[in-house]
Amino acid sequence: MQDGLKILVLLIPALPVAIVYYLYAKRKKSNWLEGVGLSLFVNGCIWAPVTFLGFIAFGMSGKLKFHDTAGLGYMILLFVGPLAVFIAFAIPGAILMWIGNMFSSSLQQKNLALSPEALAILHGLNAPPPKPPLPTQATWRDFARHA
Amino acid sequence: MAAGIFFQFAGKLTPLGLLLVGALALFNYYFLTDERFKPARYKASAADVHLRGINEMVGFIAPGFRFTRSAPQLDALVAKSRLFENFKKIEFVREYGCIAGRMGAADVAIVLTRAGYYREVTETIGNRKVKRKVEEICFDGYLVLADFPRKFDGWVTLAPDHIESRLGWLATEWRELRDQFAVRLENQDFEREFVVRASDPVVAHYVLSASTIEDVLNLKRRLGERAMMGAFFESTLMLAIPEAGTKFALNGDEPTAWLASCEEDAFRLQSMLRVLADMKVGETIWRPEERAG
Repeated sequence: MQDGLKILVLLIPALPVAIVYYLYAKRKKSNWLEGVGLSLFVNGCIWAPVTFLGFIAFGMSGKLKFHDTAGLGYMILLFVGPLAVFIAFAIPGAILMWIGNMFSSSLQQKNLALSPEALAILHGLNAPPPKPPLPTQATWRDFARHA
Repeated sequence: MAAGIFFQFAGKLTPLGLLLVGALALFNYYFLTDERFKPARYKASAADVHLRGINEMVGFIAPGFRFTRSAPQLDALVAKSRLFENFKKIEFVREYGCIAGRMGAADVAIVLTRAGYYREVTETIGNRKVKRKVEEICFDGYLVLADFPRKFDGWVTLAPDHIESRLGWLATEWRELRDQFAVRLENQDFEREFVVRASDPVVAHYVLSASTIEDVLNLKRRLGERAMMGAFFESTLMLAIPEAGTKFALNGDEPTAWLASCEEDAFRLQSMLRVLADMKVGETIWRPEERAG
């Protein structure tokens, strides 16, 4: 019973990870690295305040074996604990998200319905090299001749 | 002691802290996923894709033609050609796109244009009267510019004839009395549709040959109710084809509507180029050196 409860408690943090990853990757059609990064980041943002509140709750209930809950040790725990959680989850998450986003097409994220051919054109696979724009004084004949 | 003070405020601070964390997360998300951090391969704006898509379409319909968002400035040319002289006044000509290329030996440019004037409006706000300028659009559509395969000096303009269709021959007589530049042509249908003005009647008869008149009438039939205008000057043909609404525009939010509008644009472009081909714009009837002189 005790072990089952422990496993359940350990699984709770994994739940938002899965939900966020699923929703993000499905909606945004982004790559997996970005999804993982974002879910880690969101986890950090969720669990840091939860840890903070948890420590306060434990401290008030007297279950923490500190000899002085009003002392410096407890205060450090109160702030360093959530910070550690934030650093452990959110910062690697943000980094992963950044790297992942760098390698995903911004157009797919905008949910434009683009065919593979259109994406190929977009990525310059079969498009002719773009010509430099004409100066503003150019006449209509210049436009016609430089088309 | 410190914790005591802290717990007094903790209840109030915690929701604020949660909000701050949320705001931080949002800021991070929009900052980190910005275009500027992407390698060039993945960095592409919707406008860029749209431009390339339009150019694919244009290239398919008219090989060698190109669509650009930049366009030649036409203010001086419009004033010179007297194209919009049937309007009361034209104070601005704005270009917002150009499809240009060569048709045989001729230069052709189709410019998306808006032209109009400023109207001063006085508004009363409380006791105060505020004057502001409102843009009145007289023309919104395509300006087709092309080399006209005939060499002449002077100018000829075609404007829609709204009066003649109602008053008949009386309108023609009245115009001839009042307007020294008015020219009468033999073709009755053409006379009913257009007011022809020219610097010299000889030039008008030279430029508006029987076949050219037929081509212009064909174009007019295709346009239906829309009031088409035309000008011929310095061996250049200029046609103003009104077309309200968005043209060659980006609509990324509704891809199906966008595709439909692209199809319409393609159809219009095709019909305009067909008219130019009917007018034998690309065919030279003189040698290049003769034309240069």
